[in-house]
Amino acid sequence: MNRFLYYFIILNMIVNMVVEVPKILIDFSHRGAITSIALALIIGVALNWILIKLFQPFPARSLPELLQLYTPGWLNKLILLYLSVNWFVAGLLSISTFTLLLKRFLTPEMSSYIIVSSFVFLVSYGILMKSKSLLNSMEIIMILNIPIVLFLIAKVYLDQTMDWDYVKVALTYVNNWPNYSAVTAAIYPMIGIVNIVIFNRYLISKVNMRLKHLLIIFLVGGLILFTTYFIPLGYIGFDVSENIQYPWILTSDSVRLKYGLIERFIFIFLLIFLSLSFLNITIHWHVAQKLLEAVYRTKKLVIKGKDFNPYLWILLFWGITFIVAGRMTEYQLFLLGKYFFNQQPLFAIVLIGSLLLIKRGAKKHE
Amino acid sequence: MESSSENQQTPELLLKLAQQLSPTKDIVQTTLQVEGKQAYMLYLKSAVDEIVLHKTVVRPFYETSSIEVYASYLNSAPNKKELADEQSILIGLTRGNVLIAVPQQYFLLEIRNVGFDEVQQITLEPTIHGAQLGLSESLEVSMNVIRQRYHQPSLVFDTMELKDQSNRAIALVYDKVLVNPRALQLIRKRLENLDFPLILSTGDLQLYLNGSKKSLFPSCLLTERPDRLVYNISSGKIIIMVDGSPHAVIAPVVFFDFMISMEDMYHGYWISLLTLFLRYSGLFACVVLPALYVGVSSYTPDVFRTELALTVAASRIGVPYPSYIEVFFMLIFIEFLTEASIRLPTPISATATTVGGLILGTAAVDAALTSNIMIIVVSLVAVSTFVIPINELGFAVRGLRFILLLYTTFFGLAGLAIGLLGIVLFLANKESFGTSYLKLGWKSRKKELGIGEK
Repeated sequence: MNRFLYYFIILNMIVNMVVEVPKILIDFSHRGAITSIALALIIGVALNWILIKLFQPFPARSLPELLQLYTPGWLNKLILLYLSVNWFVAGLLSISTFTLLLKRFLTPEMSSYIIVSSFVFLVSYGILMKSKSLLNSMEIIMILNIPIVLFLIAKVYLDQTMDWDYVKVALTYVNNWPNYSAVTAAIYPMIGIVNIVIFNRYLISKVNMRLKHLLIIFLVGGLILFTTYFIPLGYIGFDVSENIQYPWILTSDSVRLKYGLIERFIFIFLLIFLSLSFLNITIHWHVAQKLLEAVYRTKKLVIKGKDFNPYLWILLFWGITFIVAGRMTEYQLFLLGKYFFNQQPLFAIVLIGSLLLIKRGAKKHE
Repeated sequence: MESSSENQQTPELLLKLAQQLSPTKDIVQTTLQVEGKQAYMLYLKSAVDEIVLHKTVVRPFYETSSIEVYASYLNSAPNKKELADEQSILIGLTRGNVLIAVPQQYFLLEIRNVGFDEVQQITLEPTIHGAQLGLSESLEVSMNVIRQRYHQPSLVFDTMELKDQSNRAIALVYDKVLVNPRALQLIRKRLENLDFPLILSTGDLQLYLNGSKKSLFPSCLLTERPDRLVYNISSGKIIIMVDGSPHAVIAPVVFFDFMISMEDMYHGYWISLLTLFLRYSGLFACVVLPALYVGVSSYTPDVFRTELALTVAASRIGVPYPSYIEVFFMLIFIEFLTEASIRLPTPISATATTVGGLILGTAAVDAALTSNIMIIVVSLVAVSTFVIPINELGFAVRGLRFILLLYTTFFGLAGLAIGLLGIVLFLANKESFGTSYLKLGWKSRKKELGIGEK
């Protein structure tokens, strides 16, 4: 499999370890979280497989290009618009979450708007970048951060204060039926592959998936989902953890680096996950902007040979982000996240459906 | 007078050219004459090696039996140049060519006198092992230096001429088998379209080649080390040299090229790995430390373990302004110091650094204008900047840390983290003649990542 596809998948998994997903899963700890995770794991891997299989016959083509070639105009605009809104909201959710997190734990005196703007400037730069450069920088940032993430996870597993009894208690609820919201929340980390819709243009080979790769994704995904759900329980306790807004942040604050320059684990944890989230947001919005560009593009904004269309979308992104992320409360954000996850099956259906349409159209063309 | 009737026979071209060159005083127009034979010479005294001229042009004239023999002698001279239009002959004359006219024929011989054709000591990137002598200010000698170190028939010297006022010769050097054809084409195109009135040396040529003059990071590498040149030629890069400049430009480059010292090649594996690690940590330290100081002391003092946080806070007691002003002041101060010690003559620069670094530093702490720890941070930053082997990157980094400091001043520690990623994004988006500036070079990479062209 192409290395960059792994990056997408793993990045999305790691980034979603921290906030909404564990909160939702822990909320359903009495109502089938474990079976939901198992189900989500299978569905998630299947989605990965389906998407890669569907993209395989079209190397070096992006979804907008393919839609333009093989589907009617009104339909492809509608599909692209829906998809781009999804990507934008995914990024928006991460920005809002991290705005609240930073405000809560790192710089409590700073205004939300300033925290938001610390993101949007550089994210916008990332949006305007060439896609290929974005892939390059993703590789570098991942390579630099993953070892630290591994260290963090290992530390959390091995720390003395981790109480495995709570995990055992949680495991006794294995006999509940999966819950819809829990399943969708657990699927979300698994589908980082969706970014292929734009970046496929730059991946010229090895976009395939064999049993080995499937197994790798299954194992890594399983490990990360397991960690996401069970580790906070082990630190916070099974019954009380439902009341906690940021289970993973509290978990990370329970760990102490006795001999480190930085004693409190939470700061390293926050900054590393912040970096990776930043990267993920940049990728999401880059995709969103590229999709939107395929929906609407005006020649009026091409001034002196320079295309100002992307700036239009960035302005729109900025406006929405400042309004939403600057004002959102934790509860609203949690609800938004939940709704967003709940509508995911529709997203999957639209994405896969459009690819099937393309496949049919391509056959007709031959 | 007889000589005047001779003069009338002086070829018109010579007279015309001489007229165009006047009123400069170093112009020489002479007639060689011995019973029945005549030849005319035109050259600029300041540009021509007169001893060689005498040996190879004047003496044979008197030794040959007839003018035809002399003409064929000149015709077979190894330093003969092609005759083109008047303008290029004129430029040739300024470059040390000698125009010789025998009846019905003109010859242009290159008899340059280059006063600075010695190979120079390496001053920019000294190493303990490895070559000690660099290139020369004379293009021919520099080309010879490279040729003598890279014996491959595929090595190409492609000379052309700058189209500015100085009309200097430049040479593109590359291995035609290994070279990156896309970059070569791009560089050629840029050189042809170069539109600047005066280019002084390789140093500013590389800026004009960049495309955009306003970039922080260098997109070519300026070097004087022949071993670096040969190393880069063998990895398919293109060297540009300008006559009269002892430096050569290497293009295209990637970020990691700037972090390699040639010494890495001459040490054992572990030693060079260690120095490489040192270098990267120095780079990281000198970019991050000032911003980190602001982020930690002004925004989130509880990041460090309690003892350290207290130490930092205690050392700041009495400092009458917020930490970012302190850092800005001290950084600018250290930049003054570096800049001063570069520009000053060596004996004075030692005094400057002592007074500036030691005395002012201690006094500033005593006067509670800055904290002890700040002095440590600033010195560390200054020292670790010098760990970067290529000067140009060092300069870029000096600018970069101010930007990061600004971002951290506005947004705190999170700003520092995001700003660092921003730097990575920025570098990854930069291009040097068609190659990405920052990317990891896996072996299978070319197969996996490309641009899907229709």
